Amino acid sequence: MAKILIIEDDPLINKMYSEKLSRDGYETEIAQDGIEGMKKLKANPPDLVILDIMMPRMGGVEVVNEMKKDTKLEKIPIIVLSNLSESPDIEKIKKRGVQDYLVKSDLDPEDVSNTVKKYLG
Amino acid sequence: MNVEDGSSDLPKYYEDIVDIAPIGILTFDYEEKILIINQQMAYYFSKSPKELIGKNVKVVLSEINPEILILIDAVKNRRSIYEEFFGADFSGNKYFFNVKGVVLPEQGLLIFENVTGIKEYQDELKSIDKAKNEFISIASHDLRTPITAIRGYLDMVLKEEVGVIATPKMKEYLELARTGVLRLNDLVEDILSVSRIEQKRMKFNLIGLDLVQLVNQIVMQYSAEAQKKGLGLYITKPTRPLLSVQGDINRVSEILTNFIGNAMKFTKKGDITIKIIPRDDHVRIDCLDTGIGISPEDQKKVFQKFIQVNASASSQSKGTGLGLYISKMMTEKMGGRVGVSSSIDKGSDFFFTLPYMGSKEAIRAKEEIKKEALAQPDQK
Repeated sequence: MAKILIIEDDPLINKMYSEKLSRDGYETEIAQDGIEGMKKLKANPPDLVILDIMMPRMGGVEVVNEMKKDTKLEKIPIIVLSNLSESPDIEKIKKRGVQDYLVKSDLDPEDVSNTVKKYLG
Repeated sequence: MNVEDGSSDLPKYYEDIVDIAPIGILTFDYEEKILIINQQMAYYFSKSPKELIGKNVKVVLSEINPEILILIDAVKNRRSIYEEFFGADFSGNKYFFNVKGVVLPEQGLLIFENVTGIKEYQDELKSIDKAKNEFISIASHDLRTPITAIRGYLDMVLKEEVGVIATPKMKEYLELARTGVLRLNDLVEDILSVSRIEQKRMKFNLIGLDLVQLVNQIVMQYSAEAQKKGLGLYITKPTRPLLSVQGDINRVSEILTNFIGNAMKFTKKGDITIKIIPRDDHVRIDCLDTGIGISPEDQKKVFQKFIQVNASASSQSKGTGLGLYISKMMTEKMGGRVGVSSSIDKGSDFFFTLPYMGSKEAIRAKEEIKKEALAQPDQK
């Protein structure tokens, strides 16, 4: 079973995606911020990461940077799901090889699940 | 009034009038010597007129702001001038003046109107406006997360992913709730667009566009809806191949979507036609409908913020009242303009223009956008 790590601080949102993706047959894990996310990434590398940008302690841009430095993590597909649009942060991470950048409020969970399927089948 | 040699053909009360006037008045001869200085002007220097008469005008005035020399020289060269919000520093007291320099026979006249209060008021307004924009942007951003949650959970329930919806009424209510949250989402998105464009933070990637292809693509998205409503949906293309126009592909799509979406909303029967009309230095794109139309008074207002001229027409077609305003602002950023002509019960014609690649307007728009991007390099 493919594994997905959801790094997202808002419990309303991380529960929504986690339960949706579990029903789709994926194994999901939640991390509440970037620091917890990095710990879980290193301990148990997933097949795909869903990543928020604005989080306390450590944000999504830093997570992308850390992942790209680590040979074990650099190839894991990252789907950024944020409600920021048109910020310099987004430009930065797009250049760093993030697979998809999606604005949360434009999407239903179904759309997110379809995007995940693109990478994990 | 204090004239150097005391000789004056004017009655004494004329001098009093000049002295009493609540504006600073000063004249000088072309040797730069101060001839007349009234009470108000001398007051700014905390001196009496007598102490200043006969002194060199440049020496006296350069203390308040060296840039005044340019104005004095202009008058010396027999050129009248006007400078708004000229900053002046009288030993620590800051003032702003509207300065008028007038050429008189044998002397130059400088008039200083104190506009410090107006300047402070304007600055305060600007900072209030900035704070308001920041507030809107933060508030709208924080609205997005709960909207995402409401929308997402409703969607999963409606798709019966976690169990069957027991009654048709339940389904109807859930669908109404979803319509409500989608409308809220549109409103927040539009408010964010407005604040981005007004704060000059909206990005424009101006490139050469294949307009015909883009129009085809957008119109296609409406073909199912048009068919369902029994409306004709057509494109009138130019007979000759079109030169490449300059625009941001996403913004142009948004404008087209806005125009066609409006036409669909307000047209019950007939057709919607998109016309691509090449002109000398730009292309005009018209969206014609056979809908309810807009009165001449309302036509003047449709592109304003928060105006919904046909708001009462149908409650299910409620928009945010921001779409046309956003379209107008975006078009103008790209070097084009928007307009409308319409008659009640016959239909409307909304159009926007885009400049050809390399045209004067296209180059100006590109430079303007570059300037804005440089002005705010790292804002969220």
